[in-house]
Amino acid sequence: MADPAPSEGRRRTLKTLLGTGATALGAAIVYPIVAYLKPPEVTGEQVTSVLVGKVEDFAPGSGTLFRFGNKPGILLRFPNGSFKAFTATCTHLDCTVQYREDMGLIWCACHNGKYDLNGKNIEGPPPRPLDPFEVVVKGDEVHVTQT
Amino acid sequence: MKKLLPLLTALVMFILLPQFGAHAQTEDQCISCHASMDDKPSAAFRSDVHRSAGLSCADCHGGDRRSDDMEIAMNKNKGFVGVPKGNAIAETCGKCHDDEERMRKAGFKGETGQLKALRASAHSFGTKATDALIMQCTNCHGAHGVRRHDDPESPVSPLRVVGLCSSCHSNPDYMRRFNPALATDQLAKYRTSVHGMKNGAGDTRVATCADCHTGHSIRPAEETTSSVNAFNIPTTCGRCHSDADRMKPYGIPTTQLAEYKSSVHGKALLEKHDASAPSCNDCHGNHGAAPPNVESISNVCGTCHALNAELFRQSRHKVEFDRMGKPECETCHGNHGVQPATQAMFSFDRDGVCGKCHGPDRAPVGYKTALKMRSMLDSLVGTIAMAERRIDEAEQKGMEVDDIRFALRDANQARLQSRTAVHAFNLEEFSKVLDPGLRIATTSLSDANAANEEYVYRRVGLAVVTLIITLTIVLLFFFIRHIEKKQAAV
Repeated sequence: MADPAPSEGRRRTLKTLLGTGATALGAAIVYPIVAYLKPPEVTGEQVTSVLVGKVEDFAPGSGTLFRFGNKPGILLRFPNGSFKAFTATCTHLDCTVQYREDMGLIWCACHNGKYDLNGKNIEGPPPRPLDPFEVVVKGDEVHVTQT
Repeated sequence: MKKLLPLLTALVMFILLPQFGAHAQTEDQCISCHASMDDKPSAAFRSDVHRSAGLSCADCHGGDRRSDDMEIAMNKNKGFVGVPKGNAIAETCGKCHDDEERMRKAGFKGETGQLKALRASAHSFGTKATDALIMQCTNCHGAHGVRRHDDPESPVSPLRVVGLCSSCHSNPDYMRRFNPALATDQLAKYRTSVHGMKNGAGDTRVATCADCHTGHSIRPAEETTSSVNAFNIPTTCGRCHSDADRMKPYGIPTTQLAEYKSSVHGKALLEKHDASAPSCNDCHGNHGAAPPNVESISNVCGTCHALNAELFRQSRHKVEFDRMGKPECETCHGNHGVQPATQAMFSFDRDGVCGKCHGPDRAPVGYKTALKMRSMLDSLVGTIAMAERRIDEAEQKGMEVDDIRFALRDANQARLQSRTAVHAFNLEEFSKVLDPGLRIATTSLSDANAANEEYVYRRVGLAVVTLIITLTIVLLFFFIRHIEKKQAAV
């Protein structure tokens, strides 16, 4: 018994699919090569806002480090309940600063750099203040955003 | 002949008297008249530098100097202004001293533009002509007995200018009216400085107030245009201290500025414009400038490098350095030419500092400790560098490396802290700081390698899949052709 002859239409459809597949395959091979030859641009800091935690996570009179993209940040909660946040990167040599309750200051362990609680460099080698973030409290969540 | 003599004398007098009269009319009548009154200004003006330059009272006070008639000489219609008051004093001086062309024509080779500088200085309430000046020219130079600044009698001469400036600046009541926060102990400090002691002993070549602050362009130190602003201090000090001729009598080197410019401090201040970097006065003092002595060097350096100083004071080196009379920080780091601290300092070759005192046969415990510290630092620095390189490679390939890079920050921090911890010269304490950093760096390197390997794995996977798909399509193609041929045969 002879095979039924496929219609011309079905054959054309199959050929079109085959051609399209071959083209897509070629593109799939060529694109990575081109992309490899042209390295991706190093993108800058893309993060513009992070959720740091809930209000009750931060005791009044405390300082907490958090991650903001590729850099650390420091969130201060004052005794009156208000918040302030800064980059936690020392402006001297990029060490991570920390809150020192005993000093009432932001302090860098590398070279004893000191900042007041407004982020202003007040002692030691840091050449300029810490960059500030904006703190937004939404309900019971504490968000930190780029100023 | 005897009869003719009076006649001839009368004739000569008749001819010459009008000439004398005419000369009398061109003489400075202001001086003549005021001298006859025995007043002090005209007496002082006789020795004034302006008089020897041909100026008259009328050049400042206006009026007609040729007339001996007071009504005419001091007539407002003749431009007489009397005694200038307030800003009119400085404007009167500025008429000539701000006019460079006029001053050069008069043969003056020195500085001009003093009024303009004074208006822009801290001695003015503002820079506009209508703004009041706190100081008028006459407050410093006097009014009628003005002398060259190098004339010992001048109030602005090197031996007298300090007293002149301090007559206001050492008076808290007076200074409070202008700047209550400004210190008033400059003179007391100056007298304790090398400059001040030599000046007090009659040396006119050492720095006085005007040498550092300038004569007329005096600005507050916090302003970048000030000659005593931190960024300008090295140049200001170096103007004298780099001058071999000027320093020759004192037998001190003149390489300080060049060394400072090449130092970590000089580069931070002058190239990176880091205002927190120390300038000359941060170590030597300003008004009380003097070389820090052996005992105070670590205190001076410790004002910025507090942790280093604290660890050093507790170390065995402190005891040994004191015993040997060696300056603490300077012995290893130098003074004006302080270079960035690297692990090379631990080496025992030309670049090393430990080898100055330690060796296999000399204080060998320190030698072994230094070698061990060097080895540990090399490991940390090398691992961090390798990790950074591998992270960069993975990032270039499009791999996600943010977490690895973030973690590596802590290793870098440990590297910096280990440089501080070195000052305890205690291997155990040093390890406590360095080891965690080395662990983090090793983990980061391993993670970065994994990211690079993941990239290779994905590429190989892509190639294999691509090959399989290609083969499938080729086989499909031949299969279709086979079917078509079969159908054509039928």
